[in-house]
Amino acid sequence: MTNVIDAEHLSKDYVVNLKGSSLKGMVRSLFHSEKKIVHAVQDLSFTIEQGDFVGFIGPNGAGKSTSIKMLSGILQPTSGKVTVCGLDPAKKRIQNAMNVGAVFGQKTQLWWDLPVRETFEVLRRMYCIPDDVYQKNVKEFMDYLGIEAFADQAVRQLSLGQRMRAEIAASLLHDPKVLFLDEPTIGLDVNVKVSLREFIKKINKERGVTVLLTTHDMQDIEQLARRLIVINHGEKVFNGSMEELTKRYAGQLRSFRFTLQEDAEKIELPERMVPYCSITKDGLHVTIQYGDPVEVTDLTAALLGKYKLADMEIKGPQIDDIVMAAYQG
Amino acid sequence: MAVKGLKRFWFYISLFPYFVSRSVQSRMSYRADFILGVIASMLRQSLGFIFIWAVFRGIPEINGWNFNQMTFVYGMQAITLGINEFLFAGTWAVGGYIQEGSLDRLLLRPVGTMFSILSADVTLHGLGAAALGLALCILSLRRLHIAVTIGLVLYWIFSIACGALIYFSINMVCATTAFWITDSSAVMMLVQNVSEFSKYPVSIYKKWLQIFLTFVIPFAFTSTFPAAFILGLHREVIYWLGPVTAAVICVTIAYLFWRFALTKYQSAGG
Repeated sequence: MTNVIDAEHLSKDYVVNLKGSSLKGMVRSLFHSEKKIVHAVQDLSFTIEQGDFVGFIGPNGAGKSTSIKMLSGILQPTSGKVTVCGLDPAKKRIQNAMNVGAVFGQKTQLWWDLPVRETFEVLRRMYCIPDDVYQKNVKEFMDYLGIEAFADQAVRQLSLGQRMRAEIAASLLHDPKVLFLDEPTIGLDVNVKVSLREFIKKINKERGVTVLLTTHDMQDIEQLARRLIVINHGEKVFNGSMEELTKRYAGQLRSFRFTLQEDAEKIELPERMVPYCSITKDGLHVTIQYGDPVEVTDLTAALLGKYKLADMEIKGPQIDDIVMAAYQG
Repeated sequence: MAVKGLKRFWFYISLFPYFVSRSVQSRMSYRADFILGVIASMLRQSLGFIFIWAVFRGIPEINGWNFNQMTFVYGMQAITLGINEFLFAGTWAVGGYIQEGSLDRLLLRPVGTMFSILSADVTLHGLGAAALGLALCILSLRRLHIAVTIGLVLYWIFSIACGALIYFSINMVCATTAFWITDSSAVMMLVQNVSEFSKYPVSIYKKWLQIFLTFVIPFAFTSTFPAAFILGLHREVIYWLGPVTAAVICVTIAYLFWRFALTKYQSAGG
């Protein structure tokens, strides 16, 4: 069994109390509250192999955080089954906590009033980390992430970039087998993002830590993830490699833009290309969106034979556009 | 399994002072607040005691309890309350953890959630009340000419521990309602006020209130029952076995209710 994470038909419903904003509504809600069920995650199944690096993406409110919280034992699934390293996270919460590390970009996992160094010490005791492992990890993380410089400051005094570096180091001190990163790069500047990416990549490669990463920054995904799981409205819409995602959703996302030397009434294309192309024309400027099986060479040849072009630009599929297309289903 | 359990127990015992020192570290910096807190806590208890003293100036005894015996009950309650304030203040923070979704952080750690909650908040103020209670109890024992044997002291300590656990469990059950009603502080305040009844022997109250304080919210086992046993007023089984039985039942209920509530936890969006 090499699957580190195994989720089968995982669902999580939230019960939301609807309270009226008017006084009347508030009084009424005291007696019989109206409840609404929100299906945050629905029938989600996937597996992640040991050592894999999976990007877990979806628009806001898609159910990413809820899923990660179920994997880390914070939330209990409404239905379905999940195992992490062979354990049910909610039922074996404490053992599961020893196996996983987690970073939530929006919320700190550290102790607000304690200095970073002291925080690490608390974690050493909590996780019963053997001395040699602890010393080695602290040294390596401090050096690599440059934590030494602010190790004696209280967490609340750190900048976001410093805090995130400390958070990631803290999540890895006990040598977890799995690392959950929930929007770890949110709000960070480019420099910090780059160094964190390098660090996470190195950890995944050298230590074989399985990583599940959620992010809205597609560069994180492009540079780190070997596989992608896309969810929307709590349901899985895609599971596969970046290439497969591109192949599936980038179909109509390549574009060819050009400017005509002299205006033409209509842009005509060979019969066989017409179904795969959509043309927008604005005066002399024309954009043709095209996809398989039309090739850029055919397209240019066809156009150059008929029209005189002042300039042209070929754009490949952009990851943000591909992901947007995937979100839309 | 037993070895593992024992190891785990030792792990918590050794971790607790460390965690507490971390939380006190940040709080001791407000030295003035600490000193005022201790004084306020002592003062609050003293005022209640002055009330008893005033009442007994007119009447020699109430329902078979004289002034010195009443003093002992009052002292027991003050000690229990003080210990509860000192060690179990964390229960008051539970509502906040749930509202803000910061319970997530506790659930991520390989440590029991109740342990995390309790070790995060320790208020030293409670020591004021406990010290006053201890003084009152010793005074009362001396004036009643009760021989202080080792057995008595051990039973006394034991019953105080049971009382503190009963207090804690009741508080914890109230705090846990926050999973459904979000803000549980009103419920906690209400029950806190009910605990005031245990400053006096429950036999002075109406029958229904006695039953309520014995079997529904069993504050009677934190003061009246063990005090009556120690002072030799009653020797029946319920008086000496009652506190520990109530403590075991209360802790079990609080623990199971908490476990059940965790399955209903919804965290916070984000």
